Amino acid sequence: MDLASCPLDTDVTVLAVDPDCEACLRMHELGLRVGTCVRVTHRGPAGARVVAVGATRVAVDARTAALIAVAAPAGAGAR
Amino acid sequence: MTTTCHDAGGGTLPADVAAVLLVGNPNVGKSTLFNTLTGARQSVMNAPGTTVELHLGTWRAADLALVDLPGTYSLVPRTPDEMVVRDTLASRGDAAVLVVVDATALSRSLYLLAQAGAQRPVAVAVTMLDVARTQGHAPDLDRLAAILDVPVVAVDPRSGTGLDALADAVRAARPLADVPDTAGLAPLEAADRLFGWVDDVVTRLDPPAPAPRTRSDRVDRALLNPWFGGPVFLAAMWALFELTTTVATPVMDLVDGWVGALADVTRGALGGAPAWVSGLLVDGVLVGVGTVLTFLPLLAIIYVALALLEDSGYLARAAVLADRLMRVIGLDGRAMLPIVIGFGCNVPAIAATQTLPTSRQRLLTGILVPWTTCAARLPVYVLLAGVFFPQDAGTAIFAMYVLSLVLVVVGGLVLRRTLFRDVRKDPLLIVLPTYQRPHLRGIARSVWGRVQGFALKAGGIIVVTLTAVWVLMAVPVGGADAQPGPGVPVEDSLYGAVAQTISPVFAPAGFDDWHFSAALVTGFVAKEVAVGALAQSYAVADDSAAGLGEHLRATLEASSGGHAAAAALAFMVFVLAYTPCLATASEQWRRFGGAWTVRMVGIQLAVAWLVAVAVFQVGSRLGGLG
Ligand SMILES: Nc1nc2c(ncn2[C@@H]2O[C@H](COP(=O)(O)OP(=O)(O)OP(=O)(O)O)[C@@H](O)[C@H]2O)c(=O)[nH]1
Repeated sequence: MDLASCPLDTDVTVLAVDPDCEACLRMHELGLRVGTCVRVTHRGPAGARVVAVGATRVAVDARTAALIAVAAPAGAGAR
Repeated sequence: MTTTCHDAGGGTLPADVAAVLLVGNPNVGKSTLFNTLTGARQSVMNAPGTTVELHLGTWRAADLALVDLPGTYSLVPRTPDEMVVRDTLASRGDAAVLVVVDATALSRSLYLLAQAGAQRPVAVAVTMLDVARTQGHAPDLDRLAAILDVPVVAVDPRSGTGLDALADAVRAARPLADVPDTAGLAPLEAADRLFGWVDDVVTRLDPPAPAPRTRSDRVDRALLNPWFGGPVFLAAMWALFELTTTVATPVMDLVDGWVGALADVTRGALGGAPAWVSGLLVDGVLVGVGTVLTFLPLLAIIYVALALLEDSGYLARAAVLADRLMRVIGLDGRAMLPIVIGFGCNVPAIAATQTLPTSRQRLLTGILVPWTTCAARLPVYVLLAGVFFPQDAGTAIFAMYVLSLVLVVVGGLVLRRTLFRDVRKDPLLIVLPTYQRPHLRGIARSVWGRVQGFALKAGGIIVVTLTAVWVLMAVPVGGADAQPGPGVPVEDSLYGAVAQTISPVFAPAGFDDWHFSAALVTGFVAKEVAVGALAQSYAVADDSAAGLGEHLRATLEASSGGHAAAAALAFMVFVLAYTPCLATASEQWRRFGGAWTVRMVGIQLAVAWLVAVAVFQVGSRLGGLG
């Protein structure tokens, strides 16, 4: 599962970020890095996703969201 | 005062500026803090070889010089602005850095702190504590100071809370104690190692649980919804356009009226003086000052609107909503704002490029804005379309608007592949700030500063150039027996001579005639007077369109070899594409510097000429436009 396909309002953990992606380091710096717990809060225009990283909200386009592999942490459910 | 500074010994600041450097993520409140600390004691300079602005100020209470650097997430730069931050820090190894940390995004801010403070003295100012408290996870700052072992102060830059303690903190600045060494590591590895340190600090601080859904999330549910958010965004853009036109015009007319009255009074007062003296003072200098003054309310209105959009947090959402559209020309979604404003007036549109996140994007947008066809160009289209395309005047005018969009898009595509290859088509990756109520006192302060900046810097250029134009019009040439002064007929003036000299350039576009080239020269100063200039050059009142129309038709029939309509269309296209007005060029000069402004004017003239020639050559051959 990746950030583009994961359900809304569900806590997930980042498993991997495609290391070849354009803005990989910047994603890292904005908190989208392996092991972080994140949540997709909205789907925006053109498939953009708004991702909650702690108290921060980061908007990413659909293609970029698809580069971030995530998994539901054990025992976590939809809010 | 904008001073362009030259590189002093490898740094980006002159060597004699000993200053505390203000560093922080975008939108942490760094500029608000800088403005509150320095008040009016500020100056702006460009980092050498760039259009990146550095703000210098005096922090009177601490008796320190302060430099506000561009916002950045990292010292591993992705843009020229971020590069300037890195280079300034590198060239000033000993200067203390005041790192502004966002309490709602601690990890992200601590990462930058770790990069900035490993080797040099740092102090930390924590902002956004009010927002963090509402979200229920304000960090314990005493604890943070103990873990970091550097001074940490809570501030609210908007109200000035905590600023007294900040001066002491900066004096007590010292390097961070135990940041891991990342020398020689690849950027990703270095980031990982630093984030290891950040995570450790955050864990020891008692980390906040992932925030529950917030009020901002609920608002975003509507405003980022493609079906609801799209129309709201369009409504916001429409409102901006209306502010630039319907709302601003009566205020500008009012100021214009006052300036006119002042001109009459001055002329009366100078009754006994020679005609050229009152001409120079009233029609030269005072008209220049009046032009500057009429733009001030418009700029103030647009600055307030932009500040409201920015401070409320909506601007970042606009960037998301317009991302797909603006991405076509490699620009951030926020570039939509200057482009929309440009259809009203190009001057505030150039000013609105400030909302873009990087200096290169601001510059690229600043080059494209003049191709948005402002309201002042409409009277030229209306006059020529009415005379030459009486049956299809609406279509001809509409075509100008379509061509305007085409020029913006094609211009953007070409520039992105030539002069702006470095403007990367980054994926959309943008932090959405929490929505909040704009802080009106802060807005008033920043709008006042910006309007003042325009009046003093762009204003100076406008007054000097308009005075020079008056002189050109008042100096008789070619054996004319007129005395220098206001009564010189246009064709006998130095101005007319200039128009006659350049007019053959327009032969391939079908309007090699001094009346038209003189109108273009006047239009360079201000488009709204181009129609008046045409009328004046035929010595007809500009409201007698019928009489003027006959003159125009006869002139273009002769200059185009019988293809007057094609020549008229070419002239309209030239008016659309060349330099919009002196005020726009002056504002470009203020923002992007003289070299870029000259280059922009060159690009505009070249493109306008090429498109006008193409239109005439094709139009005259098609025959339908004969
Ligand atoms: N609630 C709250 N808002 C703040 C605080 N400090 C600044 N702001 C607001 O945050 C917004 C961004 O502030 P700026 O000063 O423009 O941020 P900046 O760090 O200079 O941003 P860049 O120019 O992108 O580097 C403005 O609307 C400020 O009024 C604070 O402590 N609390």
